[in-house]
Formats: sequence, C-alpha cells, structure tokens
Amino acid sequence: MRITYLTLALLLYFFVHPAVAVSLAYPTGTLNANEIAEQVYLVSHGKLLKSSSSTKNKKAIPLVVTRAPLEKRKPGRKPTVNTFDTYGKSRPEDPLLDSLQMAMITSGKIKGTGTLYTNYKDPNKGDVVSLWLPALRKLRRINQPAHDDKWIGSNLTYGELILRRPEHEEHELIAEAIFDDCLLAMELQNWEINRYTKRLPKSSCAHKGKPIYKLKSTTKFKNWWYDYHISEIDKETFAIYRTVYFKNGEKVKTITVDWQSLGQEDPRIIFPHYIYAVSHEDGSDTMIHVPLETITLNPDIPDSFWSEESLKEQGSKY
Amino acid sequence: MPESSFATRYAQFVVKNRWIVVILLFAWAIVSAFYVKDVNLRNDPDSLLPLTNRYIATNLYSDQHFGMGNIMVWGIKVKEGDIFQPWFIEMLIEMYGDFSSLDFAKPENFLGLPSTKVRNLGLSENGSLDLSRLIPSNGLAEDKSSRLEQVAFLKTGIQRHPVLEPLLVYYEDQNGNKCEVLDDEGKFSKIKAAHTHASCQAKATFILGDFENELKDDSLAWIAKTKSLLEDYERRYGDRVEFLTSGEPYFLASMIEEIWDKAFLFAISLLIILFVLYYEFRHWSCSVLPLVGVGITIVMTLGLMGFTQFKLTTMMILTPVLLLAIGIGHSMQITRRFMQELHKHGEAEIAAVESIRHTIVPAFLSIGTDLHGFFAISFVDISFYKAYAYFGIYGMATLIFTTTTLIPLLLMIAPPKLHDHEDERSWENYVGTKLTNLLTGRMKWIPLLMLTGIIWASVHYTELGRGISSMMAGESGRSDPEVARIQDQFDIMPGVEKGIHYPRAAFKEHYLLGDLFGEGEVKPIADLNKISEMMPGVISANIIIRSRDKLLPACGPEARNEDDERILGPDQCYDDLEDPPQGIFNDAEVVKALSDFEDELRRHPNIGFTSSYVQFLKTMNMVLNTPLGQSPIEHANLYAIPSLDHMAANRYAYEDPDDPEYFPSPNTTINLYNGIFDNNTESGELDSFINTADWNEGLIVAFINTMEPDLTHQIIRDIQRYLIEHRNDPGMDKLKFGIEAGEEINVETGIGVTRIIT
Repeated sequence: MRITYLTLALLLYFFVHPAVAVSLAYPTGTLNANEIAEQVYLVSHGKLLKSSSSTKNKKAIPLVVTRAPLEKRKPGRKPTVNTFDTYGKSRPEDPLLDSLQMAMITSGKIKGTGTLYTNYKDPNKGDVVSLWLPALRKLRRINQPAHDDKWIGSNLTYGELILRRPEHEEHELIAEAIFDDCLLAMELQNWEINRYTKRLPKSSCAHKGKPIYKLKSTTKFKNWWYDYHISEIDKETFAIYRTVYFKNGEKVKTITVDWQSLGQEDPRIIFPHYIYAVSHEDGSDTMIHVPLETITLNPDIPDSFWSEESLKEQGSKY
Repeated sequence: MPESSFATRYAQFVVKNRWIVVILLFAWAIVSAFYVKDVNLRNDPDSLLPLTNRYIATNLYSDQHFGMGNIMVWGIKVKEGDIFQPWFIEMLIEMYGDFSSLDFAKPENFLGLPSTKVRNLGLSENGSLDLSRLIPSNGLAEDKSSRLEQVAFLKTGIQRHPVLEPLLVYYEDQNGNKCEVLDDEGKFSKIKAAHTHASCQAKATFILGDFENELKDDSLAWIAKTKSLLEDYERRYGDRVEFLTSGEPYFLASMIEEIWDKAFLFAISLLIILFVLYYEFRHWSCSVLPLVGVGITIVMTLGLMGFTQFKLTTMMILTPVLLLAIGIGHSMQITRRFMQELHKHGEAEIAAVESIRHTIVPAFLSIGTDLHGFFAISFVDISFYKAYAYFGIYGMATLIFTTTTLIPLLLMIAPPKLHDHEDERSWENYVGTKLTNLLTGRMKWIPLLMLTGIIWASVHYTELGRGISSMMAGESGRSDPEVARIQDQFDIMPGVEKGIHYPRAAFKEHYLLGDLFGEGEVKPIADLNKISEMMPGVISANIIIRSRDKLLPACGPEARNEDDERILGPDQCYDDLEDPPQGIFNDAEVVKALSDFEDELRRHPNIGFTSSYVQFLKTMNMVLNTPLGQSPIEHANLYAIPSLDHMAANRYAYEDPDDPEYFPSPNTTINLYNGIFDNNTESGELDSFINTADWNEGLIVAFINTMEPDLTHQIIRDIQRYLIEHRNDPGMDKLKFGIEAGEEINVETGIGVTRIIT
C-alpha cells in the first residue's frame, strides 16, 4: 500500500526553495563546482522570482504525461495525463515560511483535487502537504515525502524536483564545453496521442552551440539509487540542459530540460518549457510541459490565497 | 517358414545391404544426437493440458496479464528473540535485494518488509498522516540509537497494518504455538492483534517473490543460483536464523535437479545390464552391441523430443528407461538367437539371416501390440500423456531397426569367437526344471496363495467393499454424504487417492538412500510443510475478474474539431480526462460485490488469506476518512468499501459539517481513490492486481492452507457455488470470472502470440 503526495506542483521545481543564505546577485569571476551548483539550485528552484502562476490559457494547458515501461506499453495502454493549475509564492509575508505552493488538478479522475505545500525556513521543520479531496469534501495533511519517493507516479523523484540541495552532493567541475546535442523529448505512438498530448513539444535543438559546464555530482547518501550524475549547465543562465544519472557505472536515467527565457533582465529567470525523463533500465518516461502562455509572473494575489480555506474553495470550483 | 516369406526377404535384404543399413541408422542417430540438448524438460504444470482447455487458458491469461504465476516464498525465522533486531532487519534488506535481483525476477511483484509498498499508516508528531516507508529505502542508519528507533518504527508500523501484518509476520507463543492476528473469519481484529502483540513474539517474516515464466526454460541454472545465494546466508547467519524455501518454481526445478542428481543410477543400471549380458554370452561384443542398439533408440527419441520442442515434464524421464527396459529384452533375444545360429551354422552371415528371420515377426508383433497402448493414451488431452504416447510410439518403432535388425548386422560385421556352450547354460536348465516342477507338483498352490494374498491386500486398501456397498445403497443411503459422494462420482475404490497432491506426487517425505546414510529429509517437502504451518497459506489460487461488457474505444484526435470542440460524443468514444471513468473497477457496486466475495473467501476454513486491489481501496478509505489527528488503525471499521450503507453506519467519518445532508457518492469516491493510486504508485506496483490500462479486469489471489486434493477440490467447488448463487447480485451481474468456454483469446506461447478458442 502506498500513497504519496498529490503535489502536482510543477512550479515547485522552479519557484519553491528552502532557505539558503546565498546572494541573488548575478555571479562574477570564475566559479568553482560548489558555486555553480548553488547557482543551478537558485535558478531551478525559482529563488529569483517573488511569485508566479501557471493556469490554462485557451488551448494552452500545463500537463504531465507518464508512460509505462516499454515492456508493458502496447496499444490500449494510454499514457497517464494530468492537467493542472499552479500558484507559487516564493517570499511569503509570514517570517517563518519560506515558500507556498498550491496546485489543482483540472481533469480526469482526480479533477478538483488540490494540494498546498507549505515550506518552512527552518530546515529541521518538515514541510507539510495539505490535500483537498473533493469527492470526500475533506482536507488531509500529509508529511513531507522522502527524497526517493516517486513524484505522482512518474519516474522523477521528489529529491530531484524539490528536496535535494547542493550540500547533499559533492560537486566536481569536470569540463567546460559546447553543448552539441538536441534535447530528448517524448515520442508518442499514434495510439498514444490524445487532444492534450498532440500538443507536446518536439525535441528541441535550440541550445546547440551554447557554452556549458560539465558538473559531476556524487551523492552523500549511502545505498542510494544513483552514485553520481553528470549535468550539462549553461554558463550564462545556469540552466541544466541534461542530467545523466549513473549507478555502478551504468546509465540509469537521463533528464533533459528545455529551459526558455521569460524575457527578464536577469538571464537566470527562465522557465522549463518541457522536462523529459527516461529511465534506461525499463524505458519508462515522463514529460512535463508548461506552455509559456500559461505563465503569469508576480500575479496580484494576496498571501491569504495560499491557505487551507482557499484550497477548499478553489477545489470546489472544479 | 518358406523362403519367400516376408521375414526371409527382409532378413536377406538387410544382410545384403548391411553397410547401407548400418550407416543410415548411425547417421540418423548422430543427427538426432545434435537435438538432444534442446529437450525442453520444463516440468511446467501449465503444459499438462492443451492451451484450449479453459483452465489452462485462464492460468496463462492470468500469468501474462498479472504475473503472480510463479510465486516463491522464503521464510526467515529467528532462533533467539524476535525479528525486530537491527542485525536481522539489515540481513532481511540484503536478502530482499539479492532475491529480487535473481534472474527472471519481477521486482515490482516482490513483497516483504523492505518493499516500497510497505508503508506506515500512522500519524507524525504534528498530526499529519505519516505514510513513509517502514524501512528506509537506503537501509538502517549507522549509529546505534537511530537504528533502534528505525526498528521500533518498523515494529509499530507493521503491527498496525491490517493488510500486510497477517501475511508478512509470524507470531509464536512461549510454547512454540502459532498466534493468529486475524479472527476466525479471516478479518483483521484489533482485539486479537493486540493480544497477539502482547503475548507472542514475532519469530519469522517472509519474502514473497514473483518470477517470469521464462524461468521454466532455464530452471536448473536458476535453482543453482538461488540455492547458492541461500547457502551463503546460511553460512553467515545459520547459527541465528532458520531459512525456509518454497514455491512452485523452486519445487518444479527441484524435481528436475533431483533427476540430474540421480542420473548416475541410470549409468549403474547400464553397467548391471552390461554385466548380465557378459555373464550370459561371455563375449564383449554380445554385451556391448545390445546396449549400442538400445542406446541408439534412446538418442533418436531424445533427439525427436528436442527437435519438436515439446514441453516435457519430469514424467518423461520414464521414456528412455522404458525403452531401455523393453529394448534390452529384444536385444537379448536377438543376440541369443544369433549366437545359437552361429553355433549351429558356424557362419556369421547365415546366423544373421536366420536370427533376423526368426525374430522379426515376433518382435514386430510384440512392439506393435505395445504401440496400441501408446496409441490409445495419445487421445487423452493431457500433454504428458500425449508426449509419452508420441515419443513412446516413435522409440518403440525404432527398436525394430536398432535391435532386431542392427544387432545381428553388427555381430556379423564383428563376429564373436565361439565357445562350446552357446546353447542353454546349466543354470537356465536348473531354473527351468525347478519352475516346471513347482507348477506341476504339489507346491502349485504356493503361487496361487501368493496371488490371492495380493488380491486381498488390494481389495482391502482400495476399500472396494465400502465402494460397492455404497453404490448398492441406492437412494436410501444418500442421507450419508459420503455415500452420496461415492454414488455421484462412481467412486467404487474410495481408498484410492483422487486428485493430485503435488508435493506428495513429486517427492517422498524421505530419501530412501538418504535415510540409509543419515540425511533422509527432503528439503523441498520439509520446508513446504513448515511454511504452510507458519503462513496463512502457501498455495495460491488466482481468480481473474473480468467485465461482461466491452469498453468504449479511447478518443483519438479525430474526436475533436480544430476548435477543440468534441464531435464524437461519450457514447462513441471515451475521453479519460473528461468522461466519467469506465471499467468495472470504477464502479462502486462492483468493488463492493468483490469485497463481499473476498470476505466469503476468507471465511472458508481452507483459505488462509486473500489479496486483491479491493484491499488497497479499503485501506485508502480508512486512511483518508479517519478524523483529523487520529490514527487510522483506531478506525479499523472504516477499512471498507464506501457504500451508502457503510457510510450511513459510520456517519461520523463521512459527514460534511457544513452540509448535514451530504454523503459522498460511492462512485465518485472510488474514482478518486483509483485516481490517487493511478497517480501515486510506481509503474507495476498495481499491475499484479489490476489492469491499470483499462481498469476493467483484475485478480484476487487466495492463499490455500491445505494441499489435500479432496480439500482443494472442495475449495474450487465452494467458490463456483458462490459465484453461481450470487451471479445476479448487484455488481456481480457485471462480472465474469476466468476464461469462459468458447472465448477467443491471444496467448504468448514462447514462439509468438497464438489465438486460441477455449
């Protein structure tokens, strides 16, 4: 029996951030491996923004698509698709809080289910996930997930998306190079396509030719699901384009992210147009797609919106 | 016999063309020998009946859609203290990792305390639901106090798990008696569990593993690796832990291994035959060549088995033994005749012609009558009967050429030196005389008395008298259920065991040779018996649940126009993000009916435990509806399918304070739970119980606590009776169970997908 967390909060990935005492200013001079890792963390966890939302905008809709392992993938077995709205607050007024995140499922069996993720500044205080269950008209609170818990049935873990911090790994700058590849993306069979998945982006080659750091990060956790990963990081924006995980010398997972600009002065303020993760052992894969049209930066929403009362109210609308 | 007879012409022909005949036969044998390595001795009960048999089809369907067809169980029993000790848990984690990494393992279908699906159902200090793993995924911490805390958390967590504790933890009292966690109806009982936790010790736990069907193609290598792994644990922990192994793959592979282990006995029997032949004929050529003839037949038969890739069971080991037994008789006769003719005529060619001429017809008739028997059993639709018949017919037919023909030809090519006693030997005369005297003299009653004694013992032990008297009792005797059963089943020999008691059919309780040398225990049987006593049940019965109605096809891009408006309605195609979920497992009425069915199964005295997706739903219902801040296990009454009746009886858990009239919709609630599971379980976690592609078929696994064929047969009858009696109940009326007669299904057979009609 396993129940994990319904935080369909993609924006956790780039808006929520545990407290870290790192300057937000653009770095200058030559960076060492740890400094690069800190910058990557700031960028990917949205430290540079105050708040944002991603909601359906006409035909554009944020979604996550997960497919079964190759062996089990056959006609009749459609990918699991979830569409969602998210609202992130990076700098709440409450001094004890570090960030708040609300996500609502907007279609399917769990339509109207919502989560509120409360992240405290005190790292010793575990985060809390509040869950609104529309069919039961109930709110439930669930403890912070574990690092290796899978995120909504995907092949991504909470550690990769939210919980892992630079100090959980040892970093080594192994090379500076030019990114010379297209990014992997989900390739659907005809029978896997529906009204939403037909709009999934194709493989992006837009980042070819960009200068990158190659960072090797070795986990400090014992008996972990990977030994180390090698990340290819844009030298200007600190966007990770590709991360390859290794265990016992074998590739176990590859994640590619098509980071795109949000048109802000600071080049590090970017968003993941898509994230694609494929497990090499069984071929299971996940793709998260956030169309630019769905994103609103710094929306005019009061802090009281990120409350359990509001979660219940929002959930009842769907 | 006239010169022109068939026998004479045959004898003259083969003698004239002896080199061609010999070379052809040897060439045939050599070609066959290349295929011997391909013999498919898989010992697979699934291949006992034809694919078109609906029970075999159901079994294959279950295996290919859900797995759980090749389940292994490892019992790990601690000798001192209980299982909640850090060293034991660390060993368990290591074992779980090692066994789930074995070849052909399906790790997602493994279950044990270290599994990802074994989670806490409690509260954290701040009152939130704590659903973390009972054992951290990366093992126990290194410092002592943290390890003790983690083990204590595991103990508390598993002891409040209504689903997994009864399956994974075995309790014993001080006297070594088993303590139960479930009540007499097979349901979780807080009171019973609390009593067990207080007065008994958790002495053992289990790892349940599921393996791919392909294991049967390579079972010897697999069992060698599995045993070697276990031996390593026994070497390291044997002083503190008792390890038990059971499961169909292990059992079946053990049978094949046993055959290879005892293959030397076949070699010994060949040596004995060689010795007897030499004693009889006093010529090495007369001793070796009969074995060569029979050996060629055995190689040819094994070669055909390999060439045809027929799925064979260990029963088929009888075929070469039978061919040896029958073939050596023919060999001795032809050899003896050849030697007599050689002694008489002094010329090998004449001896060959004469010996073939005199023996070919009797040999043909003898083998021909044997073939009739094989031919008859070839019509029985049990695969190993067919295999036994087909390969028996082939092997026996070759004996005509490899013994009655080939042996005289070889003896002619390499004739033995003549001695002065090629006719009857003195001991033969002595035995013949004594037997004749016995049968014609005053002692002739001795054999008759012996025969009578055998018949009396047979009648006594088969209980023929009881059978006949029951048959004669007529209608008036039917008040006795046993008499009624004997009449219904025409069981005139009630003392004969009916059905297949697999373990007893496979192994004896003790090795004969082992008992002589001190190690007679048959481990597969001993472990199976011990695990059967410890677990709620060690034999699994898989019940497939399917929908009577077909599903709508999924909507493709053609279902909408360019403005994204739907043009194919919900009556034509199914949009899983917009339409009400389809599939029987999204129907609360159906899952309630299945829950009742499972409760009935658990009430059965010979079903110790059941497992199904319904239990996931019931657990989810309990966890999500327990009032805020309270532990789910304190509300075990909510471990149920949320039907309207259940919700009305447990109003406190379901009511909405802001809307007193509100009750959740059972269907919407079940859909929500399914959605949560769909989105929050790792791929494969649910697939052993439900088809998550369409939510329209699933599986109940029942663990049977007996191996007695009468009782297992009774379980099947009781299940069938329940299904018939309740077939029109709400929910049940939407279901069918297993594969029905006349259905067309696709099955994978190892050589591709085959479409069969049951």
